[in-house]
Amino acid sequence: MNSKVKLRKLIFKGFRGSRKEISLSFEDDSKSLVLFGNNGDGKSSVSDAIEWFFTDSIDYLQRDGCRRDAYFNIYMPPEDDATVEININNNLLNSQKTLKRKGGYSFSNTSADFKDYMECTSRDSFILRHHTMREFVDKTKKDKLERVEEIIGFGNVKEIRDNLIKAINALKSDKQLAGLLGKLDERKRDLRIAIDKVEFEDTNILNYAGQLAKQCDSTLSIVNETDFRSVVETLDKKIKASDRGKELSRLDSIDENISKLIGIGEFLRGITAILAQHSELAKREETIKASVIERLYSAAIEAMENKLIKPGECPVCKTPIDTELLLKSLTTEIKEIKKVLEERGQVIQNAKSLSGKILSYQTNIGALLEDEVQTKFLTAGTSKRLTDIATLLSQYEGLLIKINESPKEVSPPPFSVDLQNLEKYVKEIQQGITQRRKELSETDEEKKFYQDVQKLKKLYDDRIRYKEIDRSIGIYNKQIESLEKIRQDFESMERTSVQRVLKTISSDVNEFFTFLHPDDNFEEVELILTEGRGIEFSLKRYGHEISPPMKILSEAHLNSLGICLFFASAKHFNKANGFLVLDDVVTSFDADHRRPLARLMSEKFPDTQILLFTHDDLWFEMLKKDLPSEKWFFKELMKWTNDNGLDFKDSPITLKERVKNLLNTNDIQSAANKCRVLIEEILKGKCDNLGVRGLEFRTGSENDKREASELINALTSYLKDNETLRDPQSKNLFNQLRASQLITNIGSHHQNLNSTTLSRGDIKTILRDIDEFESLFVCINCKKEPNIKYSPRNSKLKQCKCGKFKI
Amino acid sequence: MEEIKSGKELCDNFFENLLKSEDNDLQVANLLKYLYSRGKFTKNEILQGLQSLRQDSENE
Repeated sequence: MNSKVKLRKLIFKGFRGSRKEISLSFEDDSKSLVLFGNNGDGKSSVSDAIEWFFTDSIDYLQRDGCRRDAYFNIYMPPEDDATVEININNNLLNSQKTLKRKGGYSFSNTSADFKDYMECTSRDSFILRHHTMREFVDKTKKDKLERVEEIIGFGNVKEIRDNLIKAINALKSDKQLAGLLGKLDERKRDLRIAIDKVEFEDTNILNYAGQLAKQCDSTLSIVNETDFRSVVETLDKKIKASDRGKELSRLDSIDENISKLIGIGEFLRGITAILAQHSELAKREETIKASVIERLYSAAIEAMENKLIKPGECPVCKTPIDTELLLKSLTTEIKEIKKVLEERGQVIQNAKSLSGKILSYQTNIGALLEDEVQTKFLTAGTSKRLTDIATLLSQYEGLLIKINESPKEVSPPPFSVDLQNLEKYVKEIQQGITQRRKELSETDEEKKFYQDVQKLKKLYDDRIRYKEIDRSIGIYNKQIESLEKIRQDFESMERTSVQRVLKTISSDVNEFFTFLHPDDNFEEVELILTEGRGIEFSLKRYGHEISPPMKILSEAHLNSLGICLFFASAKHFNKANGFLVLDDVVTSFDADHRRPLARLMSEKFPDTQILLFTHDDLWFEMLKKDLPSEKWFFKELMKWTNDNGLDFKDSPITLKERVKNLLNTNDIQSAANKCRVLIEEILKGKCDNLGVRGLEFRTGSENDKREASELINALTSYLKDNETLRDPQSKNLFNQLRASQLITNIGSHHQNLNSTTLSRGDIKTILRDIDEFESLFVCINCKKEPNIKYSPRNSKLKQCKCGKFKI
Repeated sequence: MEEIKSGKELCDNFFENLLKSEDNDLQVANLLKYLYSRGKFTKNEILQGLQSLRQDSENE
């Protein structure tokens, strides 16, 4: 987008508070708007329409559990669709969006440019509501970081980081790697036993191999791997040169395989125990599955414990709930989840360890079931039992893999292996082998030679297998280390970038916040990265650091912080839209800082179109005076009715015009209230112009809240001291105004519209009194009122512009 | 004011320079760069790529 988009016209029908079609024109130059409406007149329908047009949903309604049905005006025919049309300062991007009763929505503009524009707006944050302005401030540190990353378009950075971490974790817990580690341990153990050493070291193996080699042939020596291979090959050739040697070698191999089967009974029982433990856990499958929302539970607990949510409200769905009971229930739930997960982790670890040994047993049994061995040493019954065990091992292997993959129950095969007599059969086979050895052995020396060669060959094979497994694990570890290094670099880059962004945003937040609170001694307002992954506000007041801000700041200051962050992020990160909607944010904004807020918008965002909605009439009147009319226009919402829904009307620029308009529309009660405000406004204006003293000092908008009686007394006192306007007619006009002020004030307050009983005639009389009272202060020559700005410094009387009239 | 880079620009830049770091394993770095450039930077794609690299290393 080359230039940011501003609104020219908003038209909506049947959407939220609008029943008939209503239109809000921002004129060709996309003026900013201040919209006044009493609560319930439909201000939020305007922001809702804009939000839905750009985001397909209305966030606060969605969070309250309202569905799209709530978007339709409830008084319009149930078959009618609702529409929102937005015209902007680029005609090619104008579009109407239809919310269909039958489901879904459609845009009238289907151009590629419009699609690009909508895509571009998707990350813009341009609506701030009263109830969302504190949202960011109240978030946890981690959520603040995620929200900032979302605002600044770091979604793909997060995605890359998350996928990298997931891949690293998956690689670390890879089944194949776990199997390799199990086998490596087994090989280490075998080698340690073979060389009769507690510590596993390669030099110990080579030394031991060297000793064996010397025993076989004193001319042989082993100092390195090459020697080892060469010696084993030499001796092997020597043995294989004779049939007797071959058979002896074969007998050693069978003996080794059969010896290893001695512990298989215990091994198989170990597997059945693991399967039983898993079956018990499978009964609690729902708890294991619930572990995926453990984080949600934890976040809810954190929110409740830190009182970040309303008591009596569910932190997730916002429905009424007993918070204490919920907290207790979630804590128990998490405890249970953790316990079950821990048990499952142990089962998986044991399963992996046993799984790694299955292959070794299968190899041993496979070697024994070779034809030649079966024929010579095994009976038909023993062969059958070994075949059964091999089958059972394959089935167990599959089940152990399943356990790792899923918490669901598995069905173990029937255990029909005769383990009881297995050791007996093994011993029988070993006896047969010993007998055969005796028959083949001629001398003790020869016998010892064959045994040593066999040991050497086995040591060599075990060492080679160990090295292969170690190498495979090394390849895994290298990959894990590389990925970890890249992840660290990536996170470092991310942190640096976020820090840079935070520095930029912080600079603006600080500028805006100190602009709004110039006398509150705030400084160095910034967003900082916390340890771990998180963001928090930090600021100084009277030189003392405050972080997190809720530790000490008032509600008003926190609201102010929220609005400053909204402005700062909109300034830097809104790519497409050059307008902002502030829906009743002033309500929660401290009265002292409303005027500075108007100045902030006007001075710091001169090129931004701002749509400001308020139900505060004093603030509304104040804005009319403070905001430049060439850039701003003022509208009011008419009283909402069932028949018409909401509608707009131009807002008179002066309060007096508003009173007259209210009389014309027969809204006497509102007119009476406005009269009271008008009298206060006029009196305050006179006091300000004349520099009336004697009023108690007040700062900021507290000065705007003075009662009319206080003002009129101070003004009377000033005139008495200066001996001006003391003629009977003037005194009479003063008395009339005092009476009008009293009439409008009796039982009346500007926020309580139903409490006055004035008639239309009373209001007209009050307006006439006001006109006559005002005329007392106007120079008949230059038509200006005496004012301290036209008067010499410290002069007792204040003069008009031409100097001919002094009061 | 310093220009703030978008998330995509940061990632592009990171993967562009991935091979320049002498500390990084070239094979792994190349794989990640390739997957990123193809829009396939997912856990499964990374794991498959790594497995293929391991097989190559085993066969060496």
